[in-house]
Amino acid sequence: MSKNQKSLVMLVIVIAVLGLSGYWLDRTGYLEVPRVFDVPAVLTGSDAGGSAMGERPAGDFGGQDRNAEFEGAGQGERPQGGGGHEGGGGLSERVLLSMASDVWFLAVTITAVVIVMRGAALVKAQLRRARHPAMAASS
Amino acid sequence: MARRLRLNNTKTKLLLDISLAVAFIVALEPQSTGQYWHEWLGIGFGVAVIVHILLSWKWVVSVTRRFFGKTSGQARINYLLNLVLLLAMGTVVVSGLIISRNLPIAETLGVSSQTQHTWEELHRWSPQVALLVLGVHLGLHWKWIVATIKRYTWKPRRRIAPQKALPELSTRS
Repeated sequence: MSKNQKSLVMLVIVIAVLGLSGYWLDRTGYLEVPRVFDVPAVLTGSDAGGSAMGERPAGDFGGQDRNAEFEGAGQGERPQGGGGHEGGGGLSERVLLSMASDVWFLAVTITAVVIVMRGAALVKAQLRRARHPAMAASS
Repeated sequence: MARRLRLNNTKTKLLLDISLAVAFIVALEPQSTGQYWHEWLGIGFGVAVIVHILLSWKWVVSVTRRFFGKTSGQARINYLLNLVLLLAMGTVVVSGLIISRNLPIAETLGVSSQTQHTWEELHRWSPQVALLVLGVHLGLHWKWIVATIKRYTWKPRRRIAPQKALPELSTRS
Protein backbone atom coordinates (compact mmCIF):
# COMPACT_ATOMS: atom_id res chain seq x y z
CA MET A 1 0.00 0.00 0.00
CA SER A 2 1.43 3.37 -1.00
CA LYS A 3 1.89 6.22 1.45
CA ASN A 4 -1.00 8.18 -0.09
CA GLN A 5 -3.35 5.20 0.16
CA LYS A 6 -2.34 4.67 3.79
CA SER A 7 -3.06 8.34 4.55
CA LEU A 8 -6.44 8.10 2.85
CA VAL A 9 -7.41 4.95 4.80
CA MET A 10 -6.27 6.60 8.04
CA LEU A 11 -8.32 9.70 7.21
CA VAL A 12 -11.44 7.62 6.56
CA ILE A 13 -10.94 5.74 9.85
CA VAL A 14 -10.42 8.98 11.82
CA ILE A 15 -13.51 10.62 10.28
CA ALA A 16 -15.58 7.49 10.93
CA VAL A 17 -14.44 7.28 14.57
CA LEU A 18 -15.10 10.99 15.13
CA GLY A 19 -18.47 10.79 13.40
CA LEU A 20 -19.62 7.76 15.37
CA SER A 21 -18.34 9.06 18.72
CA GLY A 22 -19.90 12.47 18.00
CA TYR A 23 -23.21 10.82 17.13
CA TRP A 24 -23.07 8.73 20.31
CA LEU A 25 -22.17 11.75 22.49
CA ASP A 26 -24.99 13.72 20.90
CA ARG A 27 -27.44 10.89 21.55
CA THR A 28 -26.45 10.71 25.21
CA GLY A 29 -27.03 14.47 25.41
CA TYR A 30 -23.54 15.20 26.69
CA LEU A 31 -22.14 16.73 23.52
CA GLU A 32 -21.68 20.28 24.67
CA VAL A 33 -21.01 22.82 21.96
CA PRO A 34 -18.28 25.17 23.21
CA ARG A 35 -19.57 28.72 23.56
CA VAL A 36 -17.31 29.98 20.77
CA PHE A 37 -19.18 27.74 18.32
CA ASP A 38 -22.55 28.83 19.66
CA VAL A 39 -22.98 31.59 17.08
CA PRO A 40 -26.68 32.44 17.70
CA ALA A 41 -26.00 33.04 21.39
CA VAL A 42 -22.95 35.16 20.60
CA LEU A 43 -24.86 37.30 18.08
CA THR A 44 -27.91 37.83 20.28
CA GLY A 45 -25.84 38.19 23.41
CA SER A 46 -28.07 35.68 25.16
CA ASP A 47 -26.34 33.43 27.65
CA ALA A 48 -28.80 30.59 27.30
CA GLY A 49 -27.58 29.91 23.79
CA GLY A 50 -28.69 26.37 23.40
CA SER A 51 -26.99 23.63 21.56
CA ALA A 52 -26.36 23.79 17.86
CA MET A 53 -26.96 20.06 17.82
CA GLY A 54 -30.56 20.41 18.95
CA GLU A 55 -32.41 20.31 22.23
CA ARG A 56 -30.86 18.49 25.09
CA PRO A 57 -32.86 15.90 27.00
CA ALA A 58 -34.55 16.99 30.20
CA GLY A 59 -32.28 17.00 33.20
CA ASP A 60 -29.34 17.20 30.91
CA PHE A 61 -26.00 18.55 31.99
CA GLY A 62 -25.85 21.62 29.78
CA GLY A 63 -23.36 24.45 29.94
CA GLN A 64 -25.54 26.63 32.13
CA ASP A 65 -26.29 23.79 34.51
CA ARG A 66 -22.67 22.94 34.70
CA ASN A 67 -21.66 26.47 35.59
CA ALA A 68 -24.53 26.93 37.99
CA GLU A 69 -23.72 23.70 39.77
CA PHE A 70 -20.13 24.62 40.29
CA GLU A 71 -20.44 28.34 40.79
CA GLY A 72 -23.09 28.03 43.46
CA ALA A 73 -25.07 31.28 43.62
CA GLY A 74 -23.98 32.49 40.19
CA GLN A 75 -24.18 36.16 39.10
CA GLY A 76 -20.80 36.92 40.58
CA GLU A 77 -21.63 35.86 44.08
CA ARG A 78 -19.42 33.36 45.73
CA PRO A 79 -20.98 30.42 47.46
CA GLN A 80 -21.14 30.69 51.20
CA GLY A 81 -18.40 29.09 53.18
CA GLY A 82 -15.94 29.46 50.35
CA GLY A 83 -12.39 28.31 50.75
CA GLY A 84 -10.96 25.07 51.94
CA HIS A 85 -11.58 21.83 50.08
CA GLU A 86 -15.07 22.72 48.90
CA GLY A 87 -16.63 21.07 45.87
CA GLY A 88 -14.89 17.74 46.23
CA GLY A 89 -14.08 16.21 42.87
CA GLY A 90 -14.85 12.85 41.41
CA LEU A 91 -15.13 11.13 38.08
CA SER A 92 -18.86 10.59 37.77
CA GLU A 93 -20.42 9.48 34.51
CA ARG A 94 -21.44 12.99 33.51
CA VAL A 95 -18.03 14.46 34.32
CA LEU A 96 -16.38 11.79 32.17
CA LEU A 97 -18.84 12.37 29.34
CA SER A 98 -18.35 16.15 29.52
CA MET A 99 -14.61 15.55 29.38
CA ALA A 100 -15.11 13.24 26.39
CA SER A 101 -17.09 16.03 24.73
CA ASP A 102 -14.16 18.45 25.19
CA VAL A 103 -11.70 15.86 23.84
CA TRP A 104 -14.04 15.26 20.89
CA PHE A 105 -14.06 18.96 19.98
CA LEU A 106 -10.29 19.10 20.30
CA ALA A 107 -9.93 16.04 18.05
CA VAL A 108 -12.34 17.49 15.46
CA THR A 109 -10.40 20.78 15.38
CA ILE A 110 -7.06 18.96 15.02
CA THR A 111 -8.42 16.76 12.23
CA ALA A 112 -9.89 19.74 10.37
CA VAL A 113 -6.57 21.63 10.58
CA VAL A 114 -4.55 18.58 9.47
CA ILE A 115 -6.89 18.04 6.49
CA VAL A 116 -6.67 21.72 5.48
CA MET A 117 -2.86 21.68 5.81
CA ARG A 118 -2.50 18.47 3.76
CA GLY A 119 -4.89 19.86 1.16
CA ALA A 120 -2.94 23.11 0.94
CA ALA A 121 0.32 21.15 0.57
CA LEU A 122 -1.18 19.04 -2.23
CA VAL A 123 -2.49 22.10 -4.08
CA LYS A 124 0.91 23.79 -3.67
CA ALA A 125 2.69 20.74 -5.08
CA GLN A 126 0.28 20.54 -8.03
CA LEU A 127 0.78 24.23 -8.80
CA ARG A 128 4.56 23.80 -8.62
CA ARG A 129 4.35 20.85 -11.00
CA ALA A 130 2.19 22.85 -13.39
CA ARG A 131 4.63 25.76 -13.35
CA HIS A 132 7.77 23.63 -13.72
CA PRO A 133 6.79 20.46 -15.63
CA ALA A 134 10.42 19.68 -16.47
CA MET A 135 11.42 19.59 -12.81
CA ALA A 136 8.46 17.38 -11.95
CA ALA A 137 9.39 14.91 -14.72
CA SER A 138 13.01 14.66 -13.56
CA SER A 139 11.99 14.01 -9.93
CA MET B 1 22.48 -0.28 38.64
CA ALA B 2 19.43 1.91 38.27
CA ARG B 3 18.82 3.19 34.75
CA ARG B 4 18.96 6.96 34.54
CA LEU B 5 16.09 8.62 32.74
CA ARG B 6 17.76 10.57 29.96
CA LEU B 7 15.81 13.58 28.83
CA ASN B 8 16.82 15.71 25.90
CA ASN B 9 15.11 18.90 24.84
CA THR B 10 12.70 17.22 22.40
CA LYS B 11 11.72 14.51 24.89
CA THR B 12 11.16 17.12 27.61
CA LYS B 13 9.03 19.16 25.22
CA LEU B 14 6.94 16.15 24.25
CA LEU B 15 6.36 15.03 27.85
CA LEU B 16 5.53 18.59 28.91
CA ASP B 17 3.14 19.06 25.98
CA ILE B 18 1.29 15.81 26.73
CA SER B 19 1.02 16.82 30.41
CA LEU B 20 -0.24 20.28 29.40
CA ALA B 21 -2.91 18.84 27.11
CA VAL B 22 -4.10 16.37 29.78
CA ALA B 23 -4.06 19.07 32.49
CA PHE B 24 -6.06 21.43 30.26
CA ILE B 25 -8.74 18.81 29.57
CA VAL B 26 -8.97 17.93 33.28
CA ALA B 27 -9.09 21.62 34.25
CA LEU B 28 -11.94 22.20 31.78
CA GLU B 29 -14.11 20.03 34.06
CA PRO B 30 -13.57 21.44 37.57
CA GLN B 31 -15.96 18.84 39.02
CA SER B 32 -13.43 16.13 38.23
CA THR B 33 -10.88 17.46 40.72
CA GLY B 34 -12.93 19.68 43.00
CA GLN B 35 -12.47 23.42 43.46
CA TYR B 36 -9.30 23.25 45.58
CA TRP B 37 -7.29 21.04 43.22
CA HIS B 38 -8.75 22.81 40.18
CA GLU B 39 -7.11 26.03 41.36
CA TRP B 40 -3.74 24.41 42.06
CA LEU B 41 -3.91 22.58 38.74
CA GLY B 42 -4.48 25.96 37.09
CA ILE B 43 -1.44 27.47 38.81
CA GLY B 44 0.70 24.48 37.83
CA PHE B 45 -0.64 24.77 34.30
CA GLY B 46 0.39 28.44 34.14
CA VAL B 47 3.93 27.58 35.25
CA ALA B 48 4.11 24.72 32.71
CA VAL B 49 2.98 27.07 29.91
CA ILE B 50 5.86 29.43 30.80
CA VAL B 51 8.31 26.48 30.69
CA HIS B 52 6.81 25.40 27.34
CA ILE B 53 7.48 28.88 25.92
CA LEU B 54 11.00 28.99 27.38
CA LEU B 55 11.81 25.65 25.73
CA SER B 56 10.91 27.21 22.36
CA TRP B 57 12.48 30.57 23.19
CA LYS B 58 14.99 30.42 20.32
CA TRP B 59 12.13 30.08 17.82
CA VAL B 60 10.19 32.90 19.49
CA VAL B 61 13.19 35.25 19.32
CA SER B 62 14.11 34.37 15.73
CA VAL B 63 10.55 34.77 14.36
CA THR B 64 10.02 37.99 16.34
CA ARG B 65 13.16 39.43 14.71
CA ARG B 66 12.24 38.31 11.21
CA PHE B 67 8.47 38.78 11.45
CA PHE B 68 8.35 41.78 9.11
CA GLY B 69 11.38 40.61 7.17
CA LYS B 70 12.28 37.38 5.41
CA THR B 71 10.32 34.51 6.95
CA SER B 72 7.83 31.93 5.75
CA GLY B 73 4.10 32.58 5.77
CA GLN B 74 3.55 29.48 7.90
CA ALA B 75 5.94 30.76 10.56
CA ARG B 76 4.01 34.05 10.63
CA ILE B 77 0.65 32.28 10.97
CA ASN B 78 2.12 30.05 13.70
CA TYR B 79 3.48 33.07 15.52
CA LEU B 80 0.16 34.96 15.46
CA LEU B 81 -1.77 31.86 16.48
CA ASN B 82 0.63 31.20 19.35
CA LEU B 83 0.16 34.79 20.45
CA VAL B 84 -3.64 34.35 20.52
CA LEU B 85 -3.21 31.07 22.41
CA LEU B 86 -0.90 32.75 24.92
CA LEU B 87 -3.45 35.52 25.44
CA ALA B 88 -6.29 33.02 25.89
CA MET B 89 -4.28 30.83 28.29
CA GLY B 90 -3.04 33.92 30.13
CA THR B 91 -6.63 35.13 30.53
CA VAL B 92 -7.68 31.71 31.83
CA VAL B 93 -4.92 31.63 34.46
CA VAL B 94 -5.14 35.31 35.52
CA SER B 95 -8.95 35.34 35.72
CA GLY B 96 -8.80 32.06 37.64
CA LEU B 97 -6.37 33.59 40.12
CA ILE B 98 -8.58 36.65 40.59
CA ILE B 99 -11.78 34.66 41.21
CA SER B 100 -9.94 32.09 43.33
CA ARG B 101 -11.82 30.93 46.42
CA ASN B 102 -8.75 29.60 48.17
CA LEU B 103 -6.28 32.39 47.49
CA PRO B 104 -7.24 35.89 48.72
CA ILE B 105 -6.00 37.57 45.52
CA ALA B 106 -9.20 39.56 44.81
CA GLU B 107 -9.19 40.95 48.35
CA THR B 108 -5.48 41.80 48.13
CA LEU B 109 -5.95 43.60 44.81
CA GLY B 110 -9.16 45.27 46.00
CA VAL B 111 -11.29 43.89 43.16
CA SER B 112 -14.93 44.96 43.50
CA SER B 113 -17.72 42.39 43.22
CA GLN B 114 -18.89 43.94 39.92
CA THR B 115 -15.39 43.63 38.44
CA GLN B 116 -15.17 40.14 39.84
CA HIS B 117 -18.32 39.20 37.93
CA THR B 118 -16.58 40.32 34.71
CA TRP B 119 -13.56 38.17 35.62
CA GLU B 120 -15.84 35.21 36.27
CA GLU B 121 -17.46 35.70 32.86
CA LEU B 122 -13.98 35.90 31.31
CA HIS B 123 -13.01 32.69 33.12
CA ARG B 124 -16.01 30.94 31.53
CA TRP B 125 -15.29 32.26 28.03
CA SER B 126 -11.51 32.12 27.71
CA PRO B 127 -11.15 28.31 28.11
CA GLN B 128 -13.59 27.83 25.23
CA VAL B 129 -11.52 30.11 23.00
CA ALA B 130 -8.34 28.42 24.26
CA LEU B 131 -9.79 24.98 23.42
CA LEU B 132 -10.44 26.04 19.84
CA VAL B 133 -7.04 27.71 19.37
CA LEU B 134 -5.30 24.79 21.11
CA GLY B 135 -6.88 22.46 18.55
CA VAL B 136 -5.52 24.59 15.70
CA HIS B 137 -2.10 24.80 17.45
CA LEU B 138 -1.95 21.01 17.84
CA GLY B 139 -3.14 20.53 14.25
CA LEU B 140 -0.37 22.77 12.92
CA HIS B 141 2.23 20.83 14.95
CA TRP B 142 0.68 17.41 14.30
CA LYS B 143 3.54 16.25 12.05
CA TRP B 144 6.07 17.04 14.80
CA ILE B 145 3.95 15.33 17.47
CA VAL B 146 3.52 12.13 15.43
CA ALA B 147 7.18 12.07 14.32
CA THR B 148 8.47 12.62 17.87
CA ILE B 149 6.19 9.99 19.40
CA LYS B 150 7.28 7.54 16.67
CA ARG B 151 10.94 8.36 17.29
CA TYR B 152 10.75 7.71 21.01
CA THR B 153 8.36 4.76 21.02
CA TRP B 154 8.87 2.68 17.87
CA LYS B 155 12.32 3.66 16.61
CA PRO B 156 14.31 2.55 19.70
CA ARG B 157 12.88 -0.96 19.29
CA ARG B 158 13.71 -0.95 15.57
CA ARG B 159 17.32 -0.03 16.31
CA ILE B 160 17.79 -3.31 18.22
CA ALA B 161 16.63 -5.50 15.32
CA PRO B 162 19.45 -4.74 12.81
CA GLN B 163 22.09 -5.48 15.47
CA LYS B 164 20.75 -9.02 15.83
CA ALA B 165 20.79 -9.43 12.07
CA LEU B 166 24.39 -8.18 11.78
CA PRO B 167 26.27 -11.55 12.06
CA GLU B 168 24.16 -13.02 9.27
CA LEU B 169 25.05 -10.13 6.99
CA SER B 170 28.76 -10.42 7.74
CA THR B 171 28.89 -14.14 6.87
CA ARG B 172 27.40 -13.46 3.47
CA SER B 173 30.10 -11.03 2.37
